[in-house]
Amino acid sequence: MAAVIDEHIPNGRRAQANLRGVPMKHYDLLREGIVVFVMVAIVAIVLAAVYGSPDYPTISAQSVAENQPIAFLKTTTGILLGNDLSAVADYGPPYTKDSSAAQHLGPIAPANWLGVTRPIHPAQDFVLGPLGRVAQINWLYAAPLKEFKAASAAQRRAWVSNYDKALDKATLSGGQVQVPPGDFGPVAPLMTAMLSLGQSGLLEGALAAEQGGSYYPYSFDFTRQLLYFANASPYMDTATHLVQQGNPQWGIVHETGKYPGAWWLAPYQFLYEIPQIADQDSADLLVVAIMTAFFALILFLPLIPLLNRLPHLLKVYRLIWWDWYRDHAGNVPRRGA
Amino acid sequence: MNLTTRAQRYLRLDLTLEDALPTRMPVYVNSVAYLFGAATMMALVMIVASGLALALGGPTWYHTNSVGHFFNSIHFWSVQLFFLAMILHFITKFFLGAWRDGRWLTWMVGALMLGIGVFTGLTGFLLQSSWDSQWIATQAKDAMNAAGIGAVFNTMDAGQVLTLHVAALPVALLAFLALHIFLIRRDSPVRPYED
Repeated sequence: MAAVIDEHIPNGRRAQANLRGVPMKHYDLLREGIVVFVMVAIVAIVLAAVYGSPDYPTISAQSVAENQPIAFLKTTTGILLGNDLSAVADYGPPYTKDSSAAQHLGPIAPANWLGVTRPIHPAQDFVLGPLGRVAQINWLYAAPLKEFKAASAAQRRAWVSNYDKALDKATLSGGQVQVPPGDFGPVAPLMTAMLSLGQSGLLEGALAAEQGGSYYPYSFDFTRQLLYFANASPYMDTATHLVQQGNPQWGIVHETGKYPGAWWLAPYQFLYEIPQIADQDSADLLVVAIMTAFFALILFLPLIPLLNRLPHLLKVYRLIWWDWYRDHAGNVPRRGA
Repeated sequence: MNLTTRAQRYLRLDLTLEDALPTRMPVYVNSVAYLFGAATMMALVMIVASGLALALGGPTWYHTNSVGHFFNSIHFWSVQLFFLAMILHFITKFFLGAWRDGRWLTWMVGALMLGIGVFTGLTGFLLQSSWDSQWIATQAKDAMNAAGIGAVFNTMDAGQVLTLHVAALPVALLAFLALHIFLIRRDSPVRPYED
């Protein structure tokens, strides 16, 4: 039986009440802290030296324009048409004012509470604005752009839609995109202009300039630059190619290559793998609600009646305190006695 | 009433030097399972130290500098160790019923640190300024936006993500950590279940 050690400095009231009659042993907090620190530091440094860290280069508009020009053009027409390749069309808050697009659980749609805090007008911000800047550099594009802007909305849509369909039959020849002829109005040269902007590496800069503002060029907000291709095949193809599981939806939990990612997000990510959840229009909100409830369970665990007795019922503590139960439990007065 | 006298009295009665810097432990503190909390904290020390090294050169210097890349790697693996130790610590404390006898606040502060840690990790992954950041930013935005948080927190705003990651969230985390440790030292380790 461990001897009770003479106190040199007494514990405070709570500790005294908790430890009354409990056998004590020598302990050195600082030594233990240093030992633990050194062990953790060694492991971290060795892992860093041996495995390094992921650092896969970005996908820029230039890399898409040069390597996947047809995908670049499909994304651009997609933005103008507001189809599935547009990350902003039909999105609703915080980008556009479509409150019916906000995800909801019953009548509750949190995205509508603060509404549109980052307004984006996709056609203007992503395409027409940058085209205006291209037209300033190359006046040959000024007339097609003027013609496009002067046309009715229905006419513009028809031209872009025809071009978008023609892109499905486009081919690459000598680095040039060959689109079969059709009724595109001024759209063909405008798309050539956008592709040139992409290939020059200036698209992200043009998007930043569109945001402008009194403090331009000091902007660290890359929303538009990242949203341009967010729904499009270049991102999806890369994700599929790189991610360990081969399923893009696992991408947030994995890092490029063989590195672990945020594996602690696996419960959150797992919910997206359940079709009954993932197929809902409001899948993201549903997942957030479930994870919030799960977190609330963890947070308030001490106060939740049956849950807070679970460890006692499961008796795993007997594995950790095995020697206490063998040697001392019967001899030590109950706490508070 | 003199506030300082009250503070002194509190420390004298409820957080003595032996509580704060113990030289004795109850014999039931017997297992490596009791080291997971300390391991979590030491991993955090490594995260902050390597993070400071990264911060010295700005948000992207480590891409093109081998010393920077090494510190980035230490930071990356320290985060992995942090969450591993934290999960082990959480599981251990659950099975020991460590919230008993008035320690419910210690548990809740720990849970809050788990939540803050997850967000700090998310902002960190967003700051890699690599393909992974692009992907995570454009994927994570949907959950944020659906929950209404996206109106305030923009995964694609590298400036906001940076200031959250290196300032706001670490300060919150360290404040809660101080409270967590204060409570642990004050209350002493929870006793085994009385079977």
